[in-house]
Amino acid sequence: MKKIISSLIILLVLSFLFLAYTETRQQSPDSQNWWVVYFSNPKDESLNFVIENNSDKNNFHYAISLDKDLIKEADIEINKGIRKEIPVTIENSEGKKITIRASVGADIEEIYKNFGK
Amino acid sequence: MINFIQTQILFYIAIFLVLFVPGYFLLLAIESKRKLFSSLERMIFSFGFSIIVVDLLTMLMGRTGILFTRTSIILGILTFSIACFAIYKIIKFYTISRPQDNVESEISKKTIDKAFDFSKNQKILIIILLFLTIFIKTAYLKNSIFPTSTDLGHHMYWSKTISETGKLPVYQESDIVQIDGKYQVSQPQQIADFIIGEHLIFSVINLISGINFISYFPALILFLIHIAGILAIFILTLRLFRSYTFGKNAAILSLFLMGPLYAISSSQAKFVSGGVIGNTIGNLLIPFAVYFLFRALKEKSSALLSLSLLSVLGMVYTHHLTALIFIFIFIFTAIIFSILNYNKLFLYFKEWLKIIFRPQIIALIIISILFVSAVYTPTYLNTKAIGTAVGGPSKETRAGLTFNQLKTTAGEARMVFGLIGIIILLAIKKRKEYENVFILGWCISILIMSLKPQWLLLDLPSARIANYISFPLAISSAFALAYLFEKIKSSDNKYFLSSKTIVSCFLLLVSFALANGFYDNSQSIKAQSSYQKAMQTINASDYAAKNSSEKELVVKDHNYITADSWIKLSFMEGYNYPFSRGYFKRYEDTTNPREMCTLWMISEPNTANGQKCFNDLGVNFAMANPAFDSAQFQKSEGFWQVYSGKEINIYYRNK
Repeated sequence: MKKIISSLIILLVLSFLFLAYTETRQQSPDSQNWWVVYFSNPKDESLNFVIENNSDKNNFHYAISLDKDLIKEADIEINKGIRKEIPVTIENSEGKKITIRASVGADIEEIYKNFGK
Repeated sequence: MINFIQTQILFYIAIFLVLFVPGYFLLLAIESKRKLFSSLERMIFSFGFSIIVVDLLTMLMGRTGILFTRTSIILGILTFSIACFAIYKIIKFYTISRPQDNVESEISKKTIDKAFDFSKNQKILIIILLFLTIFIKTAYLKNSIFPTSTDLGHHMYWSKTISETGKLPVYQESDIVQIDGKYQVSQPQQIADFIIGEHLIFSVINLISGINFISYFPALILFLIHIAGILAIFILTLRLFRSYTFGKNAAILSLFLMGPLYAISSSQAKFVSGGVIGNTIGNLLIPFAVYFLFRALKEKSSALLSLSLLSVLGMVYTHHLTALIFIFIFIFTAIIFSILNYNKLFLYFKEWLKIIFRPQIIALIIISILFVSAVYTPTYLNTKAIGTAVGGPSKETRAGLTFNQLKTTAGEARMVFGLIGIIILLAIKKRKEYENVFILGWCISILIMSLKPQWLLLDLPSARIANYISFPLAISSAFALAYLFEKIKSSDNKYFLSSKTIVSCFLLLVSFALANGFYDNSQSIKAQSSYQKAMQTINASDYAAKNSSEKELVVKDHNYITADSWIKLSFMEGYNYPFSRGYFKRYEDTTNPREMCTLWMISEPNTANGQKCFNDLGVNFAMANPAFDSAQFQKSEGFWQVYSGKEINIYYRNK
């Protein structure tokens, strides 16, 4: 009976260690491959935004439009696991829609605030 | 890596302390006079009774106003264990002074050892089966260990509530209601769906180890409970059929049929990753209750009967469906026993009364009643909840499964051999014995509850009841296979066959079971884990939780967001918060009309209905999957897209 019990405990411990390690790795930034963009403050009129990179790509590009007019664009390098806040100041945005389009390669994400309403 | 090792060490310490120590010392106190269990049995029972003891202890602590903290929980467990140890020592002291007790104890120890004395080949086979069982389930769980399932998310909300407040939870939720034409959030209403035993264990382990709820830990605890359930079937089969020459082989076959075969199907590994906590614990406690009841009657032991009662009390605090199913198993077993033993029933009745009317049993019954009525009454024990479970099927899904559906749930091989087993159990000379009657009662009750619930006036989802069939059928199948081969190989009967023919037949049947069971496994293996999608949901939830407030509420979608039920763990503002757009069919259910705001706010935010809901309720944030629900928000000037990702977008309503 001792052999059966010891085998059972060993098998369970090995299984648990493997599953726990697998899940811990899945949670780690190194195992992610996605990125998001969001406003630092979603509620007020500030336009500072954050690109949070959890992907393997680093060379981001962003473009800021006032209604349909492009007013600023830039490239930015953000390493994996980094959140980069980008300050934005725009004059005369009242009554207009500010769109921030961030991209890396073919992936594009867009956020906007519409002051036209 | 160091952090991982540290968390792991604390996690295993917590498991040992919470899921082994209290049960072990409880059994030690009960076994003071004579040994009742083998070491394998003691290990499994220590685990199961620890769950029950910790549940009862924490309920008692909560009721007496003791806050749940790491220190108070550890002290509670240690106090209980020391008390049990003291009882053990005191009884042992008096037993030593009585030589006849020592002799009894020695005899009992030898009998137990003999029952669990496997041959070398049998031991190897058991270890191989254990390896296969754990290996297949681990392979499945690898892609589903990251917590994403809806049920587990709901349960972990309550466990986290207990950990954060240090108190017993109040199971209630607020919903959206319309009063005088205005939508508003209702006062909290009681929920009968959750049972405290499903949550306390996870809170206690979290409090002791500090491990995060959004991690591997809930699934691993369920995995442990599930494996203990399979082993409980193994030892139960061994005990039931120990008077048969093939008893040990039957037990090994039960392990074969319950372990590696259909290892992933519902009620197996899928329930582990799916967070079906009540069912998984129920599948451990039903074999416990049957085991102790069988042995109590067979060995005329009140100590064993007390453990059966304790198992039932555990069910009452863990899962109402399991407790109800056990009641039916008990009733069917009693009826079948009475029919088969009608001529000796009076004698048996006298025997049972002798076991029941003992001080410890009466005390346990009184304590249990007091506990349920004064310490903590399970939420489902109200007329509304009971009324929804009886009275006959109210929906098609409650009107019983077809035989084919039940066969799929049970596993074809288990169903075929299980039914053969029932026929054999009814036909053999020993059919009147407790062991046979218990299996018959267990199988037949669940077969009828699943196939013809209207006969028993039940109003419960038939598919959920059917999940309980695999355990008794595995035992019945194991008995059938072991019995048939024992009969065939026996040289003194007229069906005597050569050993080659017997081996061929055996291999043929095992191949059928293997092919069927492993085909089922292969159909259930997940190709890919959805952990990255879930991580994006958690990231978005944290953002929404940080930026929303009491006056700026959040609505989210359940249909297309991965792991959406875990979003509420970022907020901890109520079970039903953030409000959720549920499955579309639920809004069309005319028999159970529900609020429409959650549908309108996500599906048609620009319509008058949607706008009214937003305005009345003060909802300003909406979380939705961009692939399915972005156009309606992007078309509206009233919403800002403030968070954007592949899996989830957040919209802010700018008033």
